[in-house]
Amino acid sequence: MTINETEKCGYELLKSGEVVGIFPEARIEESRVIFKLSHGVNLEVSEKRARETFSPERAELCGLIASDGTICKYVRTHEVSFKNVDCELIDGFCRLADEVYDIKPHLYSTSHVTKEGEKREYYRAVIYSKKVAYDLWMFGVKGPGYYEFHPPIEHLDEEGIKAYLRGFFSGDGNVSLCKDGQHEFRVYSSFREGLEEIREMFEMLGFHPHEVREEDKEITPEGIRKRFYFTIPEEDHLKFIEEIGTRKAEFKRKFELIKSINGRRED
Amino acid sequence: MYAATVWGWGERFEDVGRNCKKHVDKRWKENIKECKIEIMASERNDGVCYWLTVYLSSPRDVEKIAEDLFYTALFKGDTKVDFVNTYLFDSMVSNKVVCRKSIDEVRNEFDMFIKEVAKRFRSDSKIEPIAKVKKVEFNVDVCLICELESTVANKVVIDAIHWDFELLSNFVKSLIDDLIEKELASRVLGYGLRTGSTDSLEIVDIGQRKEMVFVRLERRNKPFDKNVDS
Repeated sequence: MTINETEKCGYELLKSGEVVGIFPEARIEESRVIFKLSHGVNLEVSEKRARETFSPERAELCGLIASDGTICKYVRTHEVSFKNVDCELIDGFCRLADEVYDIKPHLYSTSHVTKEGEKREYYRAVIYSKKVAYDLWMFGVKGPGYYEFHPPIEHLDEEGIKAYLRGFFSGDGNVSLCKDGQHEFRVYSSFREGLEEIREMFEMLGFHPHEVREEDKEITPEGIRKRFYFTIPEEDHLKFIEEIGTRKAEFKRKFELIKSINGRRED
Repeated sequence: MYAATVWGWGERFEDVGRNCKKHVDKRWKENIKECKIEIMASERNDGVCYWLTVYLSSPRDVEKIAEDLFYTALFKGDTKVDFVNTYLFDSMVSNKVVCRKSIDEVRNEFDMFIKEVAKRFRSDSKIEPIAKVKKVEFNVDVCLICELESTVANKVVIDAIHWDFELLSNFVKSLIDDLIEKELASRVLGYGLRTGSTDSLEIVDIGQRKEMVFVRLERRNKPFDKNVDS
C-alpha cells in the first residue's frame, strides 16, 4: 500500500495503484500511518496489515463501560450508562463520551443522608442512543449477559491497551493501602473469561500479574455466585502508576502515597 | 432449596425490591419455612468483599427489607453491588448461623492463625534468608462474620473479607452502625472468623521494605478451563 498527500482532499490510500480510500487527516509514524475514521476508530496501515484501531479515548471509554457500565435495550430506548461514586470518574466518562461520540451524557444521582447529616451520593451518567449502543455491542464491549465483556484486543495498539486498562481498573480495580505502608492492586470481575483476557493484556505490556483466582471458597459464605480476581505484584506497582494510571480521585491520592513510600525505600 | 439471582449490576437500583418480592412471592409455598436475601458487594477503596444477609420467615416485608439492605450496601464507601440473590428453604437455616464471640476473642483467633501461618512458612527457601535480617509479616485473607439481632427479621449477618484485620473490623463496625440506623438490625449478637486451613496456602508476593518484609499468601488455584462455565 502507498499513501499520497494531495492538495485538495488530504491523503489518498492506494493499493496496487488504485485509490482505496481518501482521508482528510493522517498521522505518520515510523512503522505505521493512522487515518482518522469516526467515533474514535482509526485505520492503521503498516507494511504487514491494515486494521481498525481504537483511539486512546475510545479505548478508555470501553474499559470504563466493561467495568461499571451497562449497555441495555429497553422498550423505547437504548441506554449506555456508567455508575460510580466518584465525581471525577463520572466527569471523565462524560468527557470521553463527548470526545468519541459528540454526545453529552445525562447525569443522575441517588443520594442518602445519614443520621449525622453526611450526604452520600451515587452518580449515573447515561447516553440514550441506539447508535452508540450498537456501535459498542458490535465490538463486544459489554454484553449480551450483564457481566459479559471482552476487551477488543484486536483493535488496540499499545496506547489503546493502556487506556483500556486505565478505564477498567478505575471501575473494577482496587488499591489497598494500609497504614504500615503495605499496598496491593487487585482487579475484580464476576466474568472469569473477560478477566483472563485483561490479565493477558497486562502481560503484553510487560507486567507480571498473578493468576486469576476464584474468591477463596474456604472462607466465603456458601452461595450461588462467584467472584474472581487477580493481583499485580508489588514490583510492578510503580510501572502501573506511571504507564496505566487512573482517573479515580481516591486511587490518584493513593498512587502519590505509594510513590513517596517507594521513594523512601530507595533512599 | 430454591435459589436465584434476582438483580445484578447494570439493572436499575429501583428494581431490587420489586425483583426480590416477585421471586419470593412466586416460590413461597406451604413448605417454605425461611427465606434469605443476600447482597453480594465489594468496596473498592479498601478492597473489602462482603455479603449482607437477612433471614425472614414471611414474604410480607421482603420488598422493603431488600431495598433497605441494598441501599445500606450501596452507600458504604465506593461499593459496587454485584448481585442480589434470594434463597428459599424448607427449614429454619438461620439457626445454624451462630457467631457469639466477642471482637477481642476473634482478634486473638486471628493472631493465632497468623502465627500458625508464620510457623509454616518461615522456613520457606524464599523467606528464611530474609527472616534472619528483617521482620516478616504474613498476609492472608480472612472472613469476619457478625451476627446481628433484628426486630424486622430473624437475623442479619455480615460476612466481610480482607487481610488487614483492623481495616476489616472497622469496616464491619461501620456497616453495623448503618444497619442499626436503617433499623434492619437492633444489636450485635457476636462475631466469628473464617480462616480456612493453612495446608493449601502458597506464597504469591513478597514486598520488601527497609526493615520489614510483607509476604502475601493465597490459596492454590485450579487451572482455568474456558469450556467450563464460570
